[in-house]
Amino acid sequence: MLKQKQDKAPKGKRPPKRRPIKTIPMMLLITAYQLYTFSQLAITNIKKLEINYTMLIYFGVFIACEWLYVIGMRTIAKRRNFEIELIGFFLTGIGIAAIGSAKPDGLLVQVAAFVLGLVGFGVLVWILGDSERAMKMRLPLGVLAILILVANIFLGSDINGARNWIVIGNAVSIQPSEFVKIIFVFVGAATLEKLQTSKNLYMFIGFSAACVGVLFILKDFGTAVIFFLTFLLIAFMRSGDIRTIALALASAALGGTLIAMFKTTVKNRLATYRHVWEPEFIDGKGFQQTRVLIGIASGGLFGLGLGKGNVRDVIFSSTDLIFGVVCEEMGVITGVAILVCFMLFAVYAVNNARTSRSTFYSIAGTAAAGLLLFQASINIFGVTDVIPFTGVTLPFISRGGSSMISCWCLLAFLKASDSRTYLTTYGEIKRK
Amino acid sequence: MKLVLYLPQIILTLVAIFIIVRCFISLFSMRPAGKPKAVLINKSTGKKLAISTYETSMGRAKSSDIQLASTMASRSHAVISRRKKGWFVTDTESKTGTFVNGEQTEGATRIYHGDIITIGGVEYTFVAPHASREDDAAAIQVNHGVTGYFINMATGYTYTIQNGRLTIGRTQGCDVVIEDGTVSQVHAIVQYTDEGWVVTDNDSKAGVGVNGYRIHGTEPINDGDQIMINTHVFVFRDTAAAERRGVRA
Repeated sequence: MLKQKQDKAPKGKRPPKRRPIKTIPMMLLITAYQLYTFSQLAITNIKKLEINYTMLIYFGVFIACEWLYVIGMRTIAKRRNFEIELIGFFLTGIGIAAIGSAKPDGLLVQVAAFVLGLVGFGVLVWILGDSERAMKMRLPLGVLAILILVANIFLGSDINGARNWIVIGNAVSIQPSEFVKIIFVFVGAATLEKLQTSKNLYMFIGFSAACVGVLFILKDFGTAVIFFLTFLLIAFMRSGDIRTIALALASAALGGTLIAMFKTTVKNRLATYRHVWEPEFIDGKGFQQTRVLIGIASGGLFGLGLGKGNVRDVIFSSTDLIFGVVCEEMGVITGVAILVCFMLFAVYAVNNARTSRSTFYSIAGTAAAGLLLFQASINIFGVTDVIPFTGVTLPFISRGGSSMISCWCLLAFLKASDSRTYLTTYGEIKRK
Repeated sequence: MKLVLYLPQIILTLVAIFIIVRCFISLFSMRPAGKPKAVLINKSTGKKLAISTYETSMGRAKSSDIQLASTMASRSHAVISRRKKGWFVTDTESKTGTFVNGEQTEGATRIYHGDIITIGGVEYTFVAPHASREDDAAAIQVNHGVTGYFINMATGYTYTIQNGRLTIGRTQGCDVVIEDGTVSQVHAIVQYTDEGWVVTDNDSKAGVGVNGYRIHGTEPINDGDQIMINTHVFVFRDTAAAERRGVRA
């Protein structure tokens, strides 16, 4: 290197103040937030300093894993952008706090699933780093998805009316359809990325129909609706030509068939919809919705504090009704903020499409964000009786190991759609 | 008294909102796509078609990124894509085919600066920085020779980039030393990668700007871009691009 001259400080124009977040200070703030919320649950009697140590360990492991991930990625992978992960940590933290209030027994599984989900996130971000590698995986993954769902028909157990669980040794139960969501987005985006040849298009329609069809056989109505909406979204990503019209027609035919097939189920759902306050439903089929609505009202804008609500005593409070628990104990503002997060994820994904490295990433990112938004909307609007109630989980928040892993893996598609994610692999840089 | 008991809940909610808002603002603060990464010039009319994204679809359909007027072009005719190795054109099963320098393409075909691409009977000249056949050789040579330089806009000093890498900061070990307390020890790093030239904000306090936009991590830079290290403005010159311009002139 030539001998360089040293500059004095001349006057000039400053870069505009649109500062990216500093990861460590933001992590500290999130940790402080989580420590306070967790302490509301772990310290059972502040005057006598009675502490629930089991809960404390779970919360500790959760926070430690967050930090391990960030420090590991900064030092080993030389990553600099962590906004997506930080929002994920924040949402997961709210979920773990709410579960700690509603069903403390579920914390172990939830924290373990978070760790697995985080590993899955890292692996998927790495796989998606090379689009050609991703393309090669789509066919085997598509076949795997169908096999998983078909295996569910024969091996699945009937829990809460849906045959969508596989129980292993009476101890571990997994929900395969949650994992198929990841493959669905992956295959859907990879198939359409191949520039819309007819063969690929029909393959995607066939794949979607098979997935949704099996879900209906499994009576997993909520997940089937989410898949169907995601299918429409992926198809819509390539609007404006005759093939898309064919897709839309196929979608309509598929939707019509499904509604016809499940007329009875739909009829039952609609019976209580908008009538939950009527005497015949208030303590019956509308029990959950009415308790959630009461809980939201009693929690007010800022909530009653963790462990002080009543919705947590209602059946399925830690899964389907978790939004009610969050609103009652952490406030309506926090509840609405969760929904806003999913909306902003969708906006971010669409925004990324302009700068994304390929159509595969933009479709995958939008489909994943759309899927999360659909799922969150169906859950939140379902429990508040805005739409008919159906049992789907609130992403990142509800109790459920399969759901947690699936949510983190879906987040990887969003991360991959950001062109900055793979630009920051500058392994040579060392701070002096 | 009730308000005091309620205060932690209010603070908690405000912190939650702050975290979400701050993270999303940061997420959306990505520098927008700047000038086009490549340009297609219609040989007969001279009209320029900007290619500003990694994948650009071309065809008569309204949904195409570049809508073609030629009746010989298919609704979805071809896609021009930027990959790690360089630029490619892929015919999307069009009726009249896509040609590069007179030869019909099959699958993804590599294209270079100055190539003639024929789509729907219309000839376009492909113009792209870092995409000439000579650049392939230049990329190999980047670790051995002088490939670019920085000019301080205020002082006019020129800093040569050698071995494809240059560090800017306050510490004496940097290639470009700026004696200014607001500049971080190692503030920014410029280097040549598979993606071409990039500048990286090395977690600096005051930030790095490229053409007036604050960058986030690492961003690609092109010949003539202005790099801002707090209040210090530099112009980046890519030797290969400058030589090409010289040849054309």
